[in-house]
Amino acid sequence: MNRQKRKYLWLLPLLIVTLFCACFLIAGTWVITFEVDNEDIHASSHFYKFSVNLEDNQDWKDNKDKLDNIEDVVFTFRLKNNSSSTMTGQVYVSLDSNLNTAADVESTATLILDGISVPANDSLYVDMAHYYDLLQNFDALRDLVKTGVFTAYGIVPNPLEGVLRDAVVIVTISAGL
Amino acid sequence: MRKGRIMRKTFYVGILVLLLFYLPSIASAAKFSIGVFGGMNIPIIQEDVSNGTVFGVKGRAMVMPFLGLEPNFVMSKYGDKDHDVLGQTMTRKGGDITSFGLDAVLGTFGGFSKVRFYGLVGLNSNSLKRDGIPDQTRLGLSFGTGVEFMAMDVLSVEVRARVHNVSLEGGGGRNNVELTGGLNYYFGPK
Repeated sequence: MNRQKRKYLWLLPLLIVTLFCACFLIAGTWVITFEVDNEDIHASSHFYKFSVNLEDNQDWKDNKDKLDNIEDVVFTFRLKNNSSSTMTGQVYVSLDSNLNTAADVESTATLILDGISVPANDSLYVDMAHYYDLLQNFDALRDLVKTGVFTAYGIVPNPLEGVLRDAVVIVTISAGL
Repeated sequence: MRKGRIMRKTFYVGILVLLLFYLPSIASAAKFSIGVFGGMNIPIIQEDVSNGTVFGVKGRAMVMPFLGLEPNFVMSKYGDKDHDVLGQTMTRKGGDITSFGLDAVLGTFGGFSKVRFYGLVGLNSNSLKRDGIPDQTRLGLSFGTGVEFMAMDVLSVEVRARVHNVSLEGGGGRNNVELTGGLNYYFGPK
């Protein structure tokens, strides 16, 4: 190898490491916004309930086979209280969409939001900032969401005296390219 | 999690061994420098954050005419990101990364030229913080390139582009391009 070529030999380790590091560039982070149709939110005497199927979302379908991680999950919604007393509530998430009573939900589902409070004859909009103040059990929530299909249950004292609407689930995923 | 702790301990021990191994030659090397830098942190394929800022300090010890070692401390911020939720704009805070590590720089440091080109590769330990989700401490890799102009014998101006990859708990990673400008002060025998 002549002197000229040997002069640039020190570049070889740099090139090898650069190629190695480039392998780590083949990943990205996407935001999936799932809007729940108000007609799909069911109210009973026990709870509000809606199911989320991320398979309906094209970004999820495109990336689910390369999914590395659920980075973040956010629920936003509006809760209207038509009763004459303060409405307090919690939100649970479960893979089981057939839970029948509030007791079933509290014993088998995962609590994710606690401390919701809506004054009498008023409404509350839980936006992103407020959501993080209420959030519980984030790691368990992340594991549930990774399945792509789950059900959310909203427990309040008298669901039929209120209305849950405008629910949106925002999932941030990390996946390979 | 145990694997992560073992990897972090291995990383720290590795840094210490490298420094102890090269300390005698660093002491007798031609020059070493300290510098500050700042600029833009640009996330690559990350829909949940936007451009932010990056600031840091670093040292450089030349262990061979074409090879230097740079311990560094870097603070990067992501910009906040707006999301359209049923017609309402909601803002998610971007978060930040605090990192310290060691880069190896390879380039044209010898000779009388006032302009020096180099490439760099490195390892770093990163602390990721973001409102509402648990903090993480993860290993990362960096690589990039830079140009340094010797304004005086003891002072240089530098611009660099550095790709910083940070692994994430559970898998995946975040990749950022750091475009920075900086100043370096040289001391030690010529």
